[in-house]
Amino acid sequence: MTTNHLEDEIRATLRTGLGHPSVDPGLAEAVRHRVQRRRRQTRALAAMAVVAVGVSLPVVLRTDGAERDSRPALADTTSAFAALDWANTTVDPPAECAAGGGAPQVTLRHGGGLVSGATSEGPGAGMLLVFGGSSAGRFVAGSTAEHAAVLLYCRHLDPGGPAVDTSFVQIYRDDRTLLATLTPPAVDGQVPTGFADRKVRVTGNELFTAVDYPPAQDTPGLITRRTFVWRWNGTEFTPFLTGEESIQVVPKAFIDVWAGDIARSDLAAPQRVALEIAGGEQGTVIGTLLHLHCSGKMKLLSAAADGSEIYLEELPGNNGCAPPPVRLTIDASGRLHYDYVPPTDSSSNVQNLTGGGIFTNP
Amino acid sequence: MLDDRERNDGDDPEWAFERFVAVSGDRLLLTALWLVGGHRGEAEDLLQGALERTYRHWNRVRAGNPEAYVRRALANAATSRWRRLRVRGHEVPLLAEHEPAGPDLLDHATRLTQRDGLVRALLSLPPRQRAVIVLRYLHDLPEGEVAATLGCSIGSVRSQAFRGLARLRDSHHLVDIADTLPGDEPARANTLRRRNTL
Repeated sequence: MTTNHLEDEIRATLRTGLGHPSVDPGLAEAVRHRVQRRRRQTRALAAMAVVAVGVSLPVVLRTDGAERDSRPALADTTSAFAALDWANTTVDPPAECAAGGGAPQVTLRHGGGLVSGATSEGPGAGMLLVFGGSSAGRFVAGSTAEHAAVLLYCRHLDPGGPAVDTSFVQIYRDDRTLLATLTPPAVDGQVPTGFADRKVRVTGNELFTAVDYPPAQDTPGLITRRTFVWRWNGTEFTPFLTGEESIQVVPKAFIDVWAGDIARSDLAAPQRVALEIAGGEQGTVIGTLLHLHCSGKMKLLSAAADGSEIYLEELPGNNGCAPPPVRLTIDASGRLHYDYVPPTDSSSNVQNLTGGGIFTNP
Repeated sequence: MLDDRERNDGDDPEWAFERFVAVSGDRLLLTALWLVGGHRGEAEDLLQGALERTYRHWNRVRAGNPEAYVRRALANAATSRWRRLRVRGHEVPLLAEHEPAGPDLLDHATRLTQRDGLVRALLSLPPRQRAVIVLRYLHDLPEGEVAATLGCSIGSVRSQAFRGLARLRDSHHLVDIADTLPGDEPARANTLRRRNTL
């Protein structure tokens, strides 16, 4: 093995060898909350120390403490629970989250938790994560203690694509008892594939979710994403449709592992590459290119509604390489055609490369 | 679905921090994961700690290179961690405790290149060598930046990288991967050693 090969393998392994971990969408908020809580604790300790030695308390601290103890819960829906930290808390996931003989409980770490299990579909398909939308919590069912709730959602790591990532949304009271488990609603007989990943948010005391619906038979490159607002009536959450849009996605036929030789204008000889297409929506990284790559991360630029072709762009590498977009099609024999689309704009930073190859499933 | 703020408030430091975590979080988590040898929980702890330090100085940090700052915080925290572990006496290699994404996605990777052996070899590197390899090849950082991140000299980075690569090449885990590499004849580890040049 030459050094270059070894280094290429190391790069590719570092990028993909431990999977594609993603941070909890509530991480930034959790970080802010913890830093602010520590600052409050530090201020409180400082105040106590000042009182203990008989020095008068600065007005600002005294006022702050008094108000915090007596005032009602904030109506501001972006406020976090003042004293509730869900890190390392154990909760019961919904039964549907614990696939097969999965773990009966979930321990949240920074709002994220982990359940392992296996389903009849085989190992891996049953691996589930439960993440907190925020480890600090947000008010989603009113701002009083009686109705205050935090939001968790359960994300199903099925490699089939983002449409099945988030399956359930759980709402907890601030005493950590389960208030409700939401299920994505069917619309006009269309059965949803699940909550859209990372599209859970809380605005104005209301919980918004996006729900994905599978492509129609004649449009495999498009899914329907509907946005719902969930309103709490004191007993249950009811979804109200607020919007609908079509999202371009990788058609199912492309989702696979492909390998083949690429002939390219800058190469003396064709080079073997492998392409893993995991699926996903427009504008996101949907796969990995190995061996002949810059960053190796392939982003979906567009997908034809009829599923006939998709355009991918490899994210630029750190060394400045930026290959042109590629057009992918599948022929009648099931082979994947991979063709570079040279830039038409001469001022573009994209490399002026031509060529391509034909891939098959290894 | 855009958050309302996503459309307008680019100068808001809070929003800038959120954007930074959203854009760089996954890459930094992967870095942390390698630095702690694959423990998902510990990687999250490490990253959250580094982000907390970053957030405390956000106004200053955001004017420079926040990702480099977090990388440095991660490297420092990882060093403290393995020093603690060394005092305690052991560190268990961790493939079994990969995050849930591990088995299914690792399976994909294995199907692609039988890369599992190299993962194991990387995880078995001493922490300092692994840190150099991760910064050098995951982030493609120049030696000077790796040295600045780890708080050591460029010479030290070079020697750690040299030793790390040599250990990887000599690792018995690499037999499978050597057999499947394009352009390489099937080879056993001992023949690899003879053919290799650094």
